[in-house]
Amino acid sequence: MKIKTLLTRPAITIGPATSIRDARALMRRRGIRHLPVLEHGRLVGMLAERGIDRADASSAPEIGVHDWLDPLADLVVADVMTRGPVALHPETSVAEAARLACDHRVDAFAVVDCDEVAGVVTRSDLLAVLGGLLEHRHPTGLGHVLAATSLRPGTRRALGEALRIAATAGAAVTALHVLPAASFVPGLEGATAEDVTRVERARRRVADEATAARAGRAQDVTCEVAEGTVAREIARRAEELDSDLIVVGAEARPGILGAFVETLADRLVRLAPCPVLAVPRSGARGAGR
Amino acid sequence: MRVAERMRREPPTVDPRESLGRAGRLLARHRLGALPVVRRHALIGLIDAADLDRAHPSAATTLAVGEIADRLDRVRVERVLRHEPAMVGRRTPLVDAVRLMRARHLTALPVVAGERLIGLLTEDDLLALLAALLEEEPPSTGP
Repeated sequence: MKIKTLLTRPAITIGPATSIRDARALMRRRGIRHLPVLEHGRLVGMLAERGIDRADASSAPEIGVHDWLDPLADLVVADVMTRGPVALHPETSVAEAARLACDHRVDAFAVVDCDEVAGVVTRSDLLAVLGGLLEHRHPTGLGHVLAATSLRPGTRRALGEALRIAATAGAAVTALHVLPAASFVPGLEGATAEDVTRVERARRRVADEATAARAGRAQDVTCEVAEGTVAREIARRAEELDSDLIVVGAEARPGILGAFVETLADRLVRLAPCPVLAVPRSGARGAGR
Repeated sequence: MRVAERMRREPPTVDPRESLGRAGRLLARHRLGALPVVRRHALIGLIDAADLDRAHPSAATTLAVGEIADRLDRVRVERVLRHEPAMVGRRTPLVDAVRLMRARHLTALPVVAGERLIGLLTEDDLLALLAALLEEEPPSTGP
């Protein structure tokens, strides 16, 4: 995308000898904040509304009291304009213009082709492009999905489901496994070598599971391992990551384990900052929730 | 994409009783277009470079150059700050934040949780995002 596509109207320019009052009136009439200054058809400067504000009496009464009455009265454009403005060729990419604007803190570029001023591209014009991109390519319905995996067989389906939903919505995915807090050893503080291995091993297993669930799709998945109370950790991380959805595996196994998993989903619904999706384990029929 | 993904956490802030001179120096040091004005962690306003330009003595001031800096160091931010600035939450869609910034000519948008300031969305960061998004686009889609 080139900056010439942002030039929607013929360039409005001004001469260096025009009075500042007339220049300001022109800006207000046309709803613009920057005017390229042309002398004998060549670009010699850029007049910005902010430059005029700076040259005008102070808005702070204790400073303004030292200003002359109507300080703009005798000023012309050449007194206030920025000399040697940044000029870009119409074929410059929007990406490059955006980089230049932020690296050099430029508010407005003059677009110049063979010494002829074709128009002005402002930060606001560039942000309009960003607005369009965000609207069409990065819809915000679902920005982040947190997939909590228990690493038990049968719950891989939940991760697969999370990845599928995220891929459809263009959302980022974090796969999280929570290790129940390591049993407390009195007198011992900090992580032991054993804890580190345990976490590292779990992280590798999460990564393997994510690779399997991706099923060949190119999709970025951040893999994380946390320690603590399972539901609380998942909810906390969802809050931090600003997740829009938490996906967990619902193991519909009978007995103590089944009851526990059900409790996890229930607890999450209470604790989570966003909706929770419980995916039945692979092969379960009508038993999951 | 939401505001939280692109905001700066713990942005520099200024107290309403600090001076315009200090606000100007903070803006320059952090390369920012605007500073949240914060009193006991609560956002009470915003001061931007344009506000400072408006507060600057005119081209026809009777003040000497040295006196200008001195005056700016004596006038408090609360004299010129914008009260009740536009603000967003961390979960606001980024596209809405961009729209708001364009509509109100803002160079930065404070991000709040309740009254508390938790971040700042800056125009520069959004321009960098634009460049990054366009550069990841396959070249064939360009005109």
